[in-house]
Amino acid sequence: MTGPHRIGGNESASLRFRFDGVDYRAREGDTLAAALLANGIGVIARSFKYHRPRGIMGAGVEEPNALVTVGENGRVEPNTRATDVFVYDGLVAASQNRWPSLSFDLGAVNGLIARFLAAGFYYKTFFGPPSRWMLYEKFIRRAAGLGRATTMPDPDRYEHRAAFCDVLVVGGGASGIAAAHEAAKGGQRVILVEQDRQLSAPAPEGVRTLTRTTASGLWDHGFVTCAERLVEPGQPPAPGQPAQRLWQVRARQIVLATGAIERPLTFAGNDRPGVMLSTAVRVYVERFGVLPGQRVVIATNNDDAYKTAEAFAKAGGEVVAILDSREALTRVASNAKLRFPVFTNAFPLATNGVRHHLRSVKADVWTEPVAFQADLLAISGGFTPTLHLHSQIGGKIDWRADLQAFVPGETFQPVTTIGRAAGDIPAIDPDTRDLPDPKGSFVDFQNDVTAADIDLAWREGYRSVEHLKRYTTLGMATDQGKTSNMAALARLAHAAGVDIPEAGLTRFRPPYTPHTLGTLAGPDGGGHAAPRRRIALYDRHEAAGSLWQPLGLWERPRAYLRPGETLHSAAMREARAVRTAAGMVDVSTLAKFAVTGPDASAFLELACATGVAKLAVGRGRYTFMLREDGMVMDDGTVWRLAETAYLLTSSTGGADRMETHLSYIRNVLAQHLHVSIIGQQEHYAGIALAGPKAVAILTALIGETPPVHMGLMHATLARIPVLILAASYSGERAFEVYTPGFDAAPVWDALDAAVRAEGGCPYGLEALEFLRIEKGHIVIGAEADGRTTPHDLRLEKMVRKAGGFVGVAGLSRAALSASGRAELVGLTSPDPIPEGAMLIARDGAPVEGHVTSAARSVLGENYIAVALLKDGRARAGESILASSPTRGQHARVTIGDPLFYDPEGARYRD
Amino acid sequence: MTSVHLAPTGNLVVVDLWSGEDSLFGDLANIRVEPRRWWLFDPDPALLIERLAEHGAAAPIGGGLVRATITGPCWRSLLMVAGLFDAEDPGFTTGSIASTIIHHVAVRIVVTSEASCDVYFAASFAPTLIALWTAASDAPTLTIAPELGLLGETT
Repeated sequence: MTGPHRIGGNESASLRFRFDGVDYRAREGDTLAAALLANGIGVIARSFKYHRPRGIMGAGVEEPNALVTVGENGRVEPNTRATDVFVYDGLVAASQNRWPSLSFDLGAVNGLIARFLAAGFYYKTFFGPPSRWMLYEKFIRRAAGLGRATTMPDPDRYEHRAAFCDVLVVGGGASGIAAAHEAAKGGQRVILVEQDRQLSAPAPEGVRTLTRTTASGLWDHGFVTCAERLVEPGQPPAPGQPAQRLWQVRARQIVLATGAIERPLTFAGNDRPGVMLSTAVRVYVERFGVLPGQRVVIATNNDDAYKTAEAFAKAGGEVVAILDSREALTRVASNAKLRFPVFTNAFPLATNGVRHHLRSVKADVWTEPVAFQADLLAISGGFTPTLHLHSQIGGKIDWRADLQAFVPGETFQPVTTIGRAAGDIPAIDPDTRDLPDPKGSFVDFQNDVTAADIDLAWREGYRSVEHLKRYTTLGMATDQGKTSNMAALARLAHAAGVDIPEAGLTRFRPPYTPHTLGTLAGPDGGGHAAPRRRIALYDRHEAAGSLWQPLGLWERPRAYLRPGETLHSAAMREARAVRTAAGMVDVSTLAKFAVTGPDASAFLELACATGVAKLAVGRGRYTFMLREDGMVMDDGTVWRLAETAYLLTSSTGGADRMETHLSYIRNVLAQHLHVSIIGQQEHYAGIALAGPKAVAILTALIGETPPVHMGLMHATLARIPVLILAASYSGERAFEVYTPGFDAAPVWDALDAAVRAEGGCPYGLEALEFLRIEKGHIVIGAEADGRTTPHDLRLEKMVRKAGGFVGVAGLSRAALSASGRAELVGLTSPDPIPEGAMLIARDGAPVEGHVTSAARSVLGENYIAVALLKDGRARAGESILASSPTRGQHARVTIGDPLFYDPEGARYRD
Repeated sequence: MTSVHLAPTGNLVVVDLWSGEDSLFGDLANIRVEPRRWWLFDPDPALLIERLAEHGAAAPIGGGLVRATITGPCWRSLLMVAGLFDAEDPGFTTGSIASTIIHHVAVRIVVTSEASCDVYFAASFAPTLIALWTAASDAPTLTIAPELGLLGETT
């Protein structure tokens, strides 16, 4: 028998799986790699660039070659390591990057022109005008690449979950379990995570153990992200269960017992199927009962590989030769020589094969060429401690010459590394021979980077390992150089004539192993990574046919479309109803703050740039707040409910920012004041009623005369207590009716019926926008864009002359009153004015400003806009061009005041 | 089995006291949510005004606040889903209060017994947390008070 096979036969295998359309059987606990080997399959994949046939090199997450696509339909997971998937009944997998088949791949023609596809091929070949890239890209993307992501929706759920502990142990090997046991014994809360399905020994008592969980990101302050697979790739989860879970662990102490990864050796044909890491061979034999070949040659520079010889022979395989690169026999080697043919000062030179399978190994033994017939070559170039997590949080790296490896050094985080990851690994004797065939000697198997590529990069001037990595693609993709980094560094150091530490090492970054995007998205999958806020009257708007508009996290009615209406026509109908009869709009999302206490006036005079203290009880006024640099931050209204009680409103979008700002003023600038600031944004739902019939409608509903403009009153509407504020944003006589959110529906219903009876209707944000533009009211984020002062926005007359408010110092800067500032203006035109358009004197002239908001006059025929224009206030009557070249829209506009409707304000006064 | 019941908080009043001393509340049901801030549940307005006098100020917030009462052995585990706070800390016991974030939503957690807690949050976020908890791997039985006008009675 030759080739890989199950020891004792595969008859007891009960799980069914499919690979490249052929059905096979596996045993419970098999990885896909083990199962394929058990079924005699040694060729699993085609390489990235040259499409070379590739087999299985490792037995864990370090695997660079055996990448497959697992799953079907929306559960497809490409580029999955066959060594990191446990077979389940019904698993479907397929090889990648081949056409028409794995055994006969036309892409392998790339191998014939490999000498032209050296490092930097793309950079050297595909250059020229950017437009050409559109042509190149099609061919490059088709020729290169690995698996294909599905375009179907992922049917599974993903969960994020927090966990806290005193000690987090990463790694379920002997060292990790011992550490977890010790910590738990001391009464500490301990979490142990292990990427494999099983631990090396039973979990210690009192330890929360998470298997199939990979600690992939180590961040500051003991924060660790761990990805847990509850099911294997492509496997449907149990009902109600997520497929994967991202644990966000916060630990006081982190113990890294992450082990070490064996390195391959560099020689010609070292990527041929049948060449496997020595420890991987041992794992397949001892754990999975699979013999990856029948006749093995073992090439090593350390003592560990001799264990593989023992295991292989014990399982019935033949150890053809052990090639030990060291000149002298160690004690372990001497003992082995009693049973196996051990050759010292011996190195593999090349491999030969038939139909993608290994047939012989050519070796150099004491400078003499020797050939060995074998179907398996187990290689061990020493071990690389897995210090990725240590490196991620900026831990220092020390060099151990005896191991020819980097080991974790000092760290300023509460992280300790133990066991093999800390350097408890066999010493090696580094190989310093010249490579006879660097072009055929692979360093990075996943990215098809050869020793010759590294040499070329060096010759072309790439001195930094960081640059080398990017030029050659070394260490990228799913394995992140786990098997290639040290060999590459050794080659680079050799070219530079320096030691490996001088060549440097790239910094490891999360994740340690690839995550699915679903794991990262968690419960946000399919939507935005933020919650949506539902307004109290959502059901009423939905029933009225609301077209919803996102506004911050909120969704608000944009317009209520009737059959046959467009958004614009519906909004214009609604706006005209407000101008001619009445309308009502949901303003529940406005920020609202109860400002109460004996020092409430003093506090508001600090927070608001307008006068507040002289406001009479029962009255309100428009106000705005500045940042400390003098820029307008937000605006709203302030109402004096009682001698020491105010209600302050501000914009929806700025609500959270305003709460923070007020808290800052209260707790930092004005700790001495006896004042309470309590956010009531959702306590009150708000409905604005506006229009020439608003007074009559409200009078009928509350049974008394509503307050005058900027007055307030408490009343009862639909048997619900309400607070009525007489403020107008639309330019018409208007009232804001506030009621506790859970009581708002009857109030809305009563108003809605009354408004409709008077020929009015509810209106949305689009109509609101038309109305406020006509009145020249600013919007935070549009006109007040964080760069505008009260003067820029024509609000300077409202600024309190006595000062004493936040932002007054910043406002006094000379630059803010110098000429050349963008100032608020109105624009009119017979043509539609493109919103966002730049304002220029003529085509090609410098940009002098931009249109912030635009609309059509509600009752007129003109188009109107507000804009920020350089020295705009002095340019009334001037004609200028509003131009939006990206949309191909232009309008000749006339500059004027930003107040297009009822400039005297007669319509909102009784 | 864990269960969650969502309902309006009712008449909840925030009280800030200048001194930070809460002795004047007497038998009024309250929880201390910040060093100088308390939540009072369904206080008598006249009594509250009388007791506050010049000692502090109050304002209602119950009109838009939801209380989720979580009952069952897994309530701590449920709060770890998309959470940031160590609800599994053995020191987080009856009477403890935490202000934290769950899935981007600001919440206050009040431990009411070894087997239950109340979670308070703004009503607009209720659908978000309902969706989160419904999809959790240890999903609770969920009921929603009709006053919330959300999904009706849900199990």
